[in-house]
Amino acid sequence: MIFLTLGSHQPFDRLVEALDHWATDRDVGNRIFGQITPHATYKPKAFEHRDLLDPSEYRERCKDATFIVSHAGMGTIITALTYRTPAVMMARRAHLGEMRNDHQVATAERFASRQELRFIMEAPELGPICDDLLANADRPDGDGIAPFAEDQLIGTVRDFIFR
Amino acid sequence: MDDAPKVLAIASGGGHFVQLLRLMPAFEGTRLTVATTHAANRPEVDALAATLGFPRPDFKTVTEANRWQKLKLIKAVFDVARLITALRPDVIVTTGAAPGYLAIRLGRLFGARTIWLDSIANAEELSLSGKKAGDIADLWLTQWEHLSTDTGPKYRGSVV
Repeated sequence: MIFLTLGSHQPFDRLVEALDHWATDRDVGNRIFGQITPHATYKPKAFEHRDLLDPSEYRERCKDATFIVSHAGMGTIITALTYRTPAVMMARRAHLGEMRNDHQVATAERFASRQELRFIMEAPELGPICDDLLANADRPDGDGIAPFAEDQLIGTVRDFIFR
Repeated sequence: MDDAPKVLAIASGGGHFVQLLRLMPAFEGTRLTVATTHAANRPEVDALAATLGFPRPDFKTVTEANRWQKLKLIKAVFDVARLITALRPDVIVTTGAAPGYLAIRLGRLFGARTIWLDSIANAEELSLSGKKAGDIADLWLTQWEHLSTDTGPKYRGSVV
């Protein structure tokens, strides 16, 4: 399945609509499941969707997905990297009311070098990347990222607690 | 164990909480309480603790809020205040956002030492809550080396 997820907070109609159109064009709606947040005003017509998921279902769906379609949120980035699930991620933009600031644009730039992740800014970029991911859904070789923070950070927090 | 430090690890749901849980090994040997905004996160916390061989941590929920939701924010203040007065943590560790900021503000009043770890999502500038909380936290960390400054946050690695 292709898994659309937007995080648990704001809606992101621009992304949902773009994926809905691609799903209709390619007739692949039955291969998509979406989590679209409670305040979404655009409801997808081509694929099954729910507002929110439990954390365990969210992780299972991220793990099992052919690829993930999402906003450029850290929760999904870390989860995708953990399972090495390919993902296409569109940054939320402040001037479109999708978030309070453009920090997802900065996030996209910082994580752009990760093999599993492809970042886009505009809805028309979504379709071609989805075509590509659908045709070449092989996961990168090797393990996902480590399950915990870097040793230096763990050590710093631990030293602070026990000092 | 009774003299082990009492730690409150707190973050709002979603990406902030994912980052908080990646610090879990740092809490070995503490009396740990994990707090977040969604009760459904409990199984994940328990599973992680079991993987690491920790005793089952206490788990609390607080109201999700941001600074534009005044009523929810007031409720969150009461939730966090109740949590801190009941728990009296020695150390508070947070990755944000609003609940973590409140925990640092209120925790200091009860003598807790505090760590604010700014979200890795803030790659270009610190979050507003991060700037406010960082100033009063005992240890202020950023996950981006280029954001560390002499008077501001320090860089000591990241959660990924």
